Amino acid sequence: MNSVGTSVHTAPSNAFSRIDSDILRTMGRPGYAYCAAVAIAALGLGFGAYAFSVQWRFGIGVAGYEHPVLWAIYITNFVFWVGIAHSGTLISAVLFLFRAKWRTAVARASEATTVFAVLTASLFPIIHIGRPWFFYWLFPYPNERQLWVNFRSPLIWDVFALSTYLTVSIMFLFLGLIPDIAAARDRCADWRKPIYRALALGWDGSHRRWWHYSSLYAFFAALATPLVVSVHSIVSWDFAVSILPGWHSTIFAPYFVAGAIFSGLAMVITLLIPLRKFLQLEDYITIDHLENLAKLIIVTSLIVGYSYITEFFIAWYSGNPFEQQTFYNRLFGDYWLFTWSMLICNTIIPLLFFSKYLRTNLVALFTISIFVNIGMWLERFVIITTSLSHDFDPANWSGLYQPTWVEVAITIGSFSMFFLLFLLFIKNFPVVSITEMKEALVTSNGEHQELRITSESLHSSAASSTGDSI
Amino acid sequence: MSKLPFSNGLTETVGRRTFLRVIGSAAPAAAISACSPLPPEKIISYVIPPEDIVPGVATWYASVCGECPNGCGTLVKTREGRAIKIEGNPSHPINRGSLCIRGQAALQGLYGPDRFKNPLSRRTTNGNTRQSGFESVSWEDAEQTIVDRVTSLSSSGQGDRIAVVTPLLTGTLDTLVDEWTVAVGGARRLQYETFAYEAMRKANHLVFDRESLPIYDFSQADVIVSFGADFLETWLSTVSHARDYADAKRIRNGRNARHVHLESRLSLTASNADEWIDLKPGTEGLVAAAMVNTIITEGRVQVNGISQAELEQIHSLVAEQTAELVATETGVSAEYIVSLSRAFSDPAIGPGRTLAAGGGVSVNGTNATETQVAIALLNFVAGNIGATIKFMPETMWNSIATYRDVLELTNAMREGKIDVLILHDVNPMFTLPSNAGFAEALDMVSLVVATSSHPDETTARADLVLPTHTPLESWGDHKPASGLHGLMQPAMRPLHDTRHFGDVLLNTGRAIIATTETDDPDLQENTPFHRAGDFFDRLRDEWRTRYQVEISDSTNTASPNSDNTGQSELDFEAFWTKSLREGGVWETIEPDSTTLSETLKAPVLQSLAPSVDTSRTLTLVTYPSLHFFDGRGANRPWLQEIPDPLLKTTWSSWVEMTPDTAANVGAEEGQLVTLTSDHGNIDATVLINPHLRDGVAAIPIGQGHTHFGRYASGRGVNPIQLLNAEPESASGGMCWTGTRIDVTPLELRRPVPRLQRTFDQQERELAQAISVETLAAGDVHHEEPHLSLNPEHEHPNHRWGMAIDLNACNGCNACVAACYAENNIPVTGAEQMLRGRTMSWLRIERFVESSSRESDARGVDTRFLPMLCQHCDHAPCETVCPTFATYHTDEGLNAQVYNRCVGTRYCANNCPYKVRRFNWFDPSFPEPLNLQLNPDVTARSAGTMEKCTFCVQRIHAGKDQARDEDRNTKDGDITPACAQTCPAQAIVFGDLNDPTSRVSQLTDDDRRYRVLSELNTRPAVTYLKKVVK
Amino acid sequence: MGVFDSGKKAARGINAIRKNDLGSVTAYSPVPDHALDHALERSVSPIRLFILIGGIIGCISGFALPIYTVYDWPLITGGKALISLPPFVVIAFELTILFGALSGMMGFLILARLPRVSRRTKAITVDPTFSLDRFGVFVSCDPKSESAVREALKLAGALEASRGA
Repeated sequence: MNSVGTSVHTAPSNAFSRIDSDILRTMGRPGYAYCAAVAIAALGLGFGAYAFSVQWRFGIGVAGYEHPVLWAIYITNFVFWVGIAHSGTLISAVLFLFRAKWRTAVARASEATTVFAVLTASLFPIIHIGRPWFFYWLFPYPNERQLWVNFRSPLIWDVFALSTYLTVSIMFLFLGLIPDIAAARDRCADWRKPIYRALALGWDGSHRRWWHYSSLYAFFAALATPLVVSVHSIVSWDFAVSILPGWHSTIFAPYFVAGAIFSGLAMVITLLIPLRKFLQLEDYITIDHLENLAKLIIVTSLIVGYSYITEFFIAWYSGNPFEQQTFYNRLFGDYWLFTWSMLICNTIIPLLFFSKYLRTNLVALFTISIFVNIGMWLERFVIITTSLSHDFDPANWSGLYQPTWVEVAITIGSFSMFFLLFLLFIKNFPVVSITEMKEALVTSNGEHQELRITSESLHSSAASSTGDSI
Repeated sequence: MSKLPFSNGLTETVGRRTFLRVIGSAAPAAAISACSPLPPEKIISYVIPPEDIVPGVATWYASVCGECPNGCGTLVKTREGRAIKIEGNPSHPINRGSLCIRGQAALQGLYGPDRFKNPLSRRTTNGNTRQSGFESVSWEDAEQTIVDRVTSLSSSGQGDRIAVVTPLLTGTLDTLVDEWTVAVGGARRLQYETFAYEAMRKANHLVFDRESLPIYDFSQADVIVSFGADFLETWLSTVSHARDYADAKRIRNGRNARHVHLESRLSLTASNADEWIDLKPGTEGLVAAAMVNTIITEGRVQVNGISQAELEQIHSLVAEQTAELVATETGVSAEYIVSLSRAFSDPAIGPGRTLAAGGGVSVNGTNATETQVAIALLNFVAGNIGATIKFMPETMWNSIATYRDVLELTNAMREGKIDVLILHDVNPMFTLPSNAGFAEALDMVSLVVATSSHPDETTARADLVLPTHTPLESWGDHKPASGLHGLMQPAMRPLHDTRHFGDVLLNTGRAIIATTETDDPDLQENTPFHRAGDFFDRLRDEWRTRYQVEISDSTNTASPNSDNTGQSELDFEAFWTKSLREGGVWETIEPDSTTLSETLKAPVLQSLAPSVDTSRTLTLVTYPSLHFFDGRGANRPWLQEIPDPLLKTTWSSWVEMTPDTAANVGAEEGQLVTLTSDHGNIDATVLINPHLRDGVAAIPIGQGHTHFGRYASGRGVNPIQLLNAEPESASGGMCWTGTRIDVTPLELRRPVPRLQRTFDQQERELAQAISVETLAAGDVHHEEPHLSLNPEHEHPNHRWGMAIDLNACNGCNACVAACYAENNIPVTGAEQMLRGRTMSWLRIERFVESSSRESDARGVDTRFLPMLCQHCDHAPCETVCPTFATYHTDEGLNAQVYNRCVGTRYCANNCPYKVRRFNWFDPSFPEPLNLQLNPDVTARSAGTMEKCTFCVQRIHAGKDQARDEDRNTKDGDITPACAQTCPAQAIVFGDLNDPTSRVSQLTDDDRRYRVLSELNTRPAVTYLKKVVK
Repeated sequence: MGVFDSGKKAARGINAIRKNDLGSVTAYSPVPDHALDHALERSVSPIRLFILIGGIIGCISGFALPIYTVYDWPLITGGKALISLPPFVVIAFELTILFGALSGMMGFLILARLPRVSRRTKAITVDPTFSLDRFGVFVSCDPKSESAVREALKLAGALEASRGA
């Protein structure tokens, strides 16, 4: 072992093979805990599917909508999941453009998060509409009804934004995966080999392919960056272009984008902490990486908090009775509990990250990230329901909206689906980009910092390595 | 996805072919004799002669509404042989084309899913436990049972052991019942109405020697003082009152009528008043007496040529009731009483220009008669008798039994003096207090026959149930007032194996006559039971003999001097046809001259002050419900679903208290409490209603049924169970108010579904008002025209618009029911209502502007705002729909295409008026309710959005008709259902492109405004501000 | 065929070959390596052209589709003009990104000659270690200069310089 350790300093090659085996090891035979997790997730997904079948059969009235609260948990989940997706693109694309080296370790996981979150999100428009069997009417295609879609409707903008986002992020993820799949293909000995062979598209690491590969990867990053901004802006316009007090606001686009990244980062932390533990990737996804994420969370949390202040201030300053009533009701009306817990989760708790100790404490990181997830879910819920329940005509005002088991089940189902997809992904694909780790090693040759990490990693992993390889 | 409910309904219930065969006029003809089909020319359709009836074209029949005794004229719209809509008959003098909410809902009486399908007879299933159940029997057997029992009695000269109880009947059926009672040997006969106005009749008898009810003409009154009379809800002829009242409230040369309402609860009528005085319950009479006193002492009596003696006579009655004295007992200040008296007898407006309306259920305490006497005197001294208050030669109200008569019959039953009791269309088991002992009395009667079309608490106790036609399936005539002869013709063939009550009487009568030989000569030949023919023939005979000559004089349908029988027969056919077409014949009868009764003596007003009773904590006030009348409407789902006009509650009833009262008894909103009186106790949900007098608990009458079908049973409470069975001494009427009750809160909550939670419009100026002075001064501010970045879109042909006059609207909900009927709006039920999921396209919002109590009137200004789709030119809902399911037509309509809708509900979110309704489930119309559906209106499926269309199907029909007649549509061609039925004529619809149309002119009215105009949605609906004093 | 354990050495080898013009070179590596880029003097990849064209097409169609459809069946909604550009900009933007990305991916597959299909991995990969940690330099040359090539690669520090397929 020692010899290997020393060899690092001379040449990266052996470090390469170490990286290879370390990461590919994560794709080895699943343990009981993993199987249990998958089973639970699958169960939750089934529950949600059953609830949806009930709703499909009897009508959406089985959900708890109370006139005039005609949008509620489903749209909340939709916005929430789209938000989750954003951090992935941010980390993999934006930080790539900024040459932030530390992103390498977490990029792959984040990209996967993006794809699965968008997949989950894109189900909710279908679940939410009254006649889901006609959801395809939302797509512009020449049809027997001689009718196109109304491009003035923000919901159509959503259709375009989401489908673009889904396509691009899938391609982005896949492109990054190609060389790693090739590596897996070359090491794999079990039934998955043919699959990898197909997915690797016959990658052989020849220089011409590397050349186009890195060029396209850079371009994808460049395309994804404006896209990620546009997508959540458009989602926010679902609300902002309406005339409803509490929705009709010009700050919604930046406010929602910041919020999206905020929640996304939290979700990444929530996922990475157990992930690095169970897959023994502590050497690759280090505490420093998590700390950097925590720092980003502070920034976005401050932006979100500032947006809240602006919202309430403008409502008061505008002198518009409708606005004032809506926001007063948001703070002190039927939904006060949700509003206040949202404010605390999103603007107070994340500030704890100012403390270096908490930033670098796994338990603290995990707990706070959970709080942020809850807070951001509540934010969407509060914006949607409070604004709807008290609008222009007091004769319509309704009380506290109470969801039924159907909505709860479908929400649980959506989380289960997300985690199920993620679990399946980490067992079958390199959850840390092999190529980029190696690349980082090459480009940082001679840089003391990176090398030290690598050597430590080799020692520790040598100690902790279970040694099972595929 | 959405199968039209009526398409399968037809085939399953009666069969489409059957309908087509008996379509149009043949259908009702076949109705009256279920056995033998009748020649089709028996009845004449209103619009087109029967021979041109084609499927897909509506046929209209003029008839009479049977929902309450007021006898409004109706036009029944039938399609393919089934009645689908009822509208008021424009040529009828009483309702003049309008109908109330109950008249609109009569269709659901016809199509009620719980109706009796055939005769039922009680069979004892278990002798020793006296358990028994109903079994179906044939009509022949059923009638034979009656014949046998009656014959055995009448043959043994015990005809008086037979009793017939009917509701208020007039005309042919009334005569027939009398003839039947005679034919069976003098059976007892009773006409039972829950609200019989005994006190008013008695008072008029005492004061004017006329035991009858006058006609009140609100349109001619400049000052209206109503002592608890809910004349816009249930008190006498409400539809005509509403029309007249709206006229009185209309601004003419800068002024309109002043309305003061005195009642301890803010009723719908009180909500429309300019001033509402919440005086102590039962003290209305004192105020009236004090007003009389003031008027006489101040020498403002407005009666021309009244003798000093008469004056003395009146003054002697009210001498001790001075304003000061009364003020302490009533809680109304002396100054106010005096000023009101002066206004009421103002020489400036001249005699007979005021009107005092007293009564209704809320003034029927132990001192009811005295109160009414005082009010009658008040009208007399103001010179209103013969002016705004007309006594006609004849009135239908005289023949009604008093509550005391009913009690006597009950006692006779209990004492076993009655063997056969026939209850036709009455429900005493529900409408009599439990401790009147009617239930026990029924057990003593060996044969109880109930003839009714619906199961109710009374039929549940009967031995024999004979299902009868509903009014929409029946022939008949109705005489609501002098000179008014309404002719009721069936609009369709009976749904079930039912018979007309008249035919039951005829059949049984003949059988009885055949078996009993009598020596009474006038019984030998002259009775209808000796002649052939069914009730229809009887009706024609009646009209031939009774009306032809007198009426042909006044209506000139036939030459009066025709002795030639053939000639007169032809005349009669012409007259008959004309009468059927128009729904009857109307003569103008002059009112009798009415003078003061000589026998009017001092003791009359002895016990004018209410008996002071402090035994229990609260005073109970029961009030008849606008929707359910005395409870007979409770099995109509529309009436249950449409929210209460004041509290916006649905599918329930409750006990109202002020916040303070509730706090005192330790109850809160939604909590269940036990109400205990000396006579019974019930559990009711508390509803906080600030517009009530402290120390008073109010409960609506009409709910709390136990055997009234799926929609009514087990909903709310029946306050009659708390009332005293003792009749009011003077008139023998029921004591509806003044019962003292205790309240004990329970640890249970039973929320009452409410569709409006706050009545405060938060200075949002949704329902606006303007004072008479400001309006007269022309000091009106209209909103600036808002600019738009987009070019105005054209409306080349038409531009439909609506104007709603908030000053006329009295919040009576008739338009809502009409909308339900016209547009196939489903009923969703109480559970959905708890989530606010009503499907109504039109709602009446109620806003109350409460200011501090100035003078004696509570500073309460109630505004009713009919809210429907505003058909905005810049509709926010249209832009956000992804599938173009809603868009703007070039006629200015905000179209909703159900087939394009995927149900994102974004449009409803973006609608500032929140008038869009979402189908949470597939609508359900339990058979045969589905037969009522309007074939011209699509039935919506689950997951689609819907809303008011301005009755687009009527717009198309109007345009088609205009095209057929090769002309352009003219103003008045097209009327939506809501505007058509509005008793106050508050809604006007028309073409805004036509500057001469009424709606165009109203749109430029000084009172115009648009709701939420600051949003620049450019609504097509213009509201006219309410005018306040 | 030379196998190296680092990109720098491989680059040295390539330079040597090219300096003496001993034959055409193909390099294999587990990671993209700039040293190799310099050695092989790669210019900028033409992939950006694909993306540019795709983006332009996307933008045009993003405006064309809504404008065509509103005229195909003109329906007034909310009193807005038929051609309301602001919303159409959103569509155009999204389609620009979408088409750009798609044509970029397409361009990559075309330029990189992917995918290559074969039943056997051997036929695809020259040597599986090239996806692990080895750098390969494959020189196709005429037999007489073979020894010179081997020499050059050895000199550059190749772990082995064999006669590859």
